[in-house]
Amino acid sequence: MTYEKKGRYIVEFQDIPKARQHHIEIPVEERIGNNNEVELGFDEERALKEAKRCLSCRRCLGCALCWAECKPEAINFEMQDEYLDLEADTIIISPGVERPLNRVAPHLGLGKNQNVMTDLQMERMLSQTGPSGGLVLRPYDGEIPMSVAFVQGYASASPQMHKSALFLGINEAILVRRKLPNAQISFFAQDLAAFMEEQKDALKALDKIEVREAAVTALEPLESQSLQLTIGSNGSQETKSFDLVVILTQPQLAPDVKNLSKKLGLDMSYASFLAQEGSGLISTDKDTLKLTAIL
Amino acid sequence: MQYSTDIRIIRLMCTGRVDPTMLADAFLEGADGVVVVGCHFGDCHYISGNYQAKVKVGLATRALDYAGLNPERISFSQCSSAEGDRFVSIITGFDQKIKEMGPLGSADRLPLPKLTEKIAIAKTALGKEKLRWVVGKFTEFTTTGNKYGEKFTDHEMWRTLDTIVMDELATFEILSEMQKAPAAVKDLAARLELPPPHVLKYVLALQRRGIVSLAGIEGNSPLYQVAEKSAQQTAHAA
Amino acid sequence: MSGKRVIIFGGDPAGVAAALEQAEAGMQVTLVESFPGLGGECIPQTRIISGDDAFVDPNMEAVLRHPNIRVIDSAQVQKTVASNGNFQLKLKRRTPRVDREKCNDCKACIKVCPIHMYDDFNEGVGFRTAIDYFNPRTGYNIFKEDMPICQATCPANLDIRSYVGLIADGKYAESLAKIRERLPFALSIGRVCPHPCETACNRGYMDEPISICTLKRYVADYEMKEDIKAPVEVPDEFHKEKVAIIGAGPAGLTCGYFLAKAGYKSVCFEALPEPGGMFRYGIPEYRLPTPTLMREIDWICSHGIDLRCNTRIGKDISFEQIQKDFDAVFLGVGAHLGMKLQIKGEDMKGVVDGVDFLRDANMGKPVNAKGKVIVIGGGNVAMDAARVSWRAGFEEVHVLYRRTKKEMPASPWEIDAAEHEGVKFQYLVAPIEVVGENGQMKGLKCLRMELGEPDASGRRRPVPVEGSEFIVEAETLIPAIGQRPDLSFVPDGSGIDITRWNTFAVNHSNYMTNVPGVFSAGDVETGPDIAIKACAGGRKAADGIVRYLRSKRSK
Repeated sequence: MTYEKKGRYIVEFQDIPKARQHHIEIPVEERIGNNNEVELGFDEERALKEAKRCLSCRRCLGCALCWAECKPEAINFEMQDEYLDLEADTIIISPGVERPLNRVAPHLGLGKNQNVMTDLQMERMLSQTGPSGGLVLRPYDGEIPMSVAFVQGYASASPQMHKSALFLGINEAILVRRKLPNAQISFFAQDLAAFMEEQKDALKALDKIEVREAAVTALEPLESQSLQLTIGSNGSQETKSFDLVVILTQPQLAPDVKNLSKKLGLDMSYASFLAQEGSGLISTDKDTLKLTAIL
Repeated sequence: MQYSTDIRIIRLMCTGRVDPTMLADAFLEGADGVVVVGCHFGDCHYISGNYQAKVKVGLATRALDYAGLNPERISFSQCSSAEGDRFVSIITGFDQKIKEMGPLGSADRLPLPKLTEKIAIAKTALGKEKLRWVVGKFTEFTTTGNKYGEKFTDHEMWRTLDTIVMDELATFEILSEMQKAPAAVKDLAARLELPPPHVLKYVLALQRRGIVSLAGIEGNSPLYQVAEKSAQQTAHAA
Repeated sequence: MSGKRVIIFGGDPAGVAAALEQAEAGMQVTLVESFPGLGGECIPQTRIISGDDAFVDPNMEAVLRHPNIRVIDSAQVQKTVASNGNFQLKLKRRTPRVDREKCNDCKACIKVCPIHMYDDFNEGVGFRTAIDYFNPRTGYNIFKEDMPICQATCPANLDIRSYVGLIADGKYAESLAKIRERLPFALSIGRVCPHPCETACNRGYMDEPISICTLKRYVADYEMKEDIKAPVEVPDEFHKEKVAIIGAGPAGLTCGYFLAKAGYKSVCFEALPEPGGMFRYGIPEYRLPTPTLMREIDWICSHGIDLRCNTRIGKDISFEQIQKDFDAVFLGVGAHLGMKLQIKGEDMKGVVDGVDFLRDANMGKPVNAKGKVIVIGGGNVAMDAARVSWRAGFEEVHVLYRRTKKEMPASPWEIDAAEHEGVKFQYLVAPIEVVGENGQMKGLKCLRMELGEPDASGRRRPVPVEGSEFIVEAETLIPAIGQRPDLSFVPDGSGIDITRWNTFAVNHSNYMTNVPGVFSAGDVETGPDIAIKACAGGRKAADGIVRYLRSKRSK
């Protein structure tokens, strides 16, 4: 919902990696029995080295090159933020979910291995208007993967949220199958039994997709940048390698919606609406406030 | 007063006339080093020509350094018309330094002819609007500020130019390689000695802007080519 | 029911569908989305797809064309008021800087934009440029961040990118001037700040974050070491109005500094013998030496603050008198009352509160450093108390904390330094009773804890292990489990609103309390927090006071 995510850099400066400078401090044995200052800060050399590490994060430069190139003269740097006053008889909140990446289990190596991606990244890749033009690619080298594993990336979540994550994952697996008819596709998640039973009919559409109640306990990168997974299920363990690993992330209510509902005096603790299907509206304890279900 | 006969002097009205592409050209024409000698700061007949020159020479140095040239082969010095001795010592010192380095390709990150290929690409990037526009804004941004009234420090300006240099050089390398034949990301990365994930991101960015298009899929590798319309533009520009 | 006004928050497919449905039913619909552009297609998350319905694509054309629907993107809610069954909302809409009526989607701008950025629209797959579209049908934007992440994270919003850049350029005086535009305490904050900016620093993704705090200290130290006279820039003439500042701590002095810069003199009343507040009496000497602090305070006061120490409000001068004598009053008395453990035997000799302990140590009072000392708590005050005790010469220093090291709120480097100096930590321990003889404590009865299930906030609550009672012998106990403000100086009839956390309630647009002319910021307004937050509050309150005095004069 918020677009000001932290910028992540793609070009490698020649001075990366370069450890940060540490302040000078006095040794422990000189500290007892007195109150002398412990940290002494930087000397000039360290200060200059440290200041030069600053990346001056990428941002709009305000250089107006776009303005110079814009034929219809649509760009206007003088435009200001607007403040609007609105009135309403009814408010409808469409809560949506967010999937925080810091909840992903660290042993799955998201961020460390290029070929480990999230379900949201896969969703964008599957989109015809997405960044890859609808191709499913390995982020490491742009090759088409021959084996894809979907792996649950969190320990436990509320039943509705878990179900929502499974739906997204299974749907993505089905779409990947449509794009890659010959790839090997596996799906490893926990607490699957009830879900599988409930969706029995719909799951017939799964075309040679291996869906297994299992936990991935380790992930090792191979030299080919493929990933070797240690999969535990029913007390047994096996290892298997995949070209691409997609992590199912844990959905949760977006915090800005939580804040908004608090401002409006609505208790968002009941999350049962998330499981409801269709686009119907859900009433709340206030007549003038309504919620939409997730599609 | 005497100085080395290995020096070829090219006279300009003002160092402000030095274009970053000229430095690339010098190396492509066989020079082993370039020294730009201008007036002292504050002495410029055209007010700020030597400040502009310092920035432009700095940019060219960074771009060529990134292309594999030893940055020591470029130098910016200042000397007034009354300081003949100083001029001689600048020239002699620089000449000495270049002689120690040896000819182009010997003390550089890349050997010949690979180095000249990359310098040619750096020249293309230095001639394009992005770098020229931003480097032209250097003095304005550090003194009066940008469109939003934000003032930049020199450090920020150089960091920004560094990022653009890296993006532009990688982009033009990829495009020039693709112009030869449609190519897969991993082959491009191997040929250009760039990390494959970076090449992929640049290719996807080019595809999104309509400069590159998908040519087909060979085995597991999508092949990309320069889109027809922009191929004409590129050819025209070159 | 028709013609009613409906506001829908959230431009995801569910919100878009609801908007269409409501509009068809004849409602006046406003669709509000915080993202710059309405959501595009997405994969269903409540059913398994079949056939061609792979992506749910909201009918964007219909929404954009529908006469009853108004779309507002890039919008944040600023204020909501609910009354008589309807709502009044104030929204802020970030400008796109692109006239969407004129834009013809030719992509020329994104072709020339020199800046490649992290593509947050596509989860980081590929790039986007500084001018770009999320969804071409809902328009282009120039994505101009208000501040870089470091500046946005800093409570005082210091222009970090500029002052670090100026250090890199070797322009130390200019760098310090840049800091002082928003913060007078460069020497002190450069020493004590827990620097949330560094935690946020983007370079942390690559290797390690920039050492922002120590760089700030460097330029301030440079001025001090080179004995450069710090510039005092105030208007030639001061206005005739005077402001009373109660409490010479980070908030009060910062407020006085910015008031002086705006041309208002102030008188600062301080109950303790020396100025500085928590800087002087809360932060141990080894982290912030008094001479350094005093140099900074002298400089700040030279701008036009008349400092009166040893003057306690309610005792030496009444609050009513101050309200009568001054045109505005700023309350920045901090939070100096330690929280009680609420256990038996807490009033025994040998039990001394963390804040009191640090104050006495900072005043140079001798510490009865005999035997073993127990510090209870996991915050930075606990770490300070433990490290001061260690210096004072206690045989053993033990810190007891009821969760584990991972949950400790103290800065990790402070914990490391304490461990490094030989302070012993006991985790998952909670005190239940102070035991002793003849009113002198001899030990502390404790319980072992274990971590239970995560609660709603995701924190795992400690639960006691039955029958795990044990006694730690010690003559001194320092509880450091939190502070709250001492508001006893406020007379009963003052009418100032006080929150249930025993802090002053203020209006955050001008930091004025409900009593006109009385302002407040710092720990007494926020509750115990970091020093730079108090400084930030002091500056904003100064702005509020200046606006208040100007409007009063013009009446």
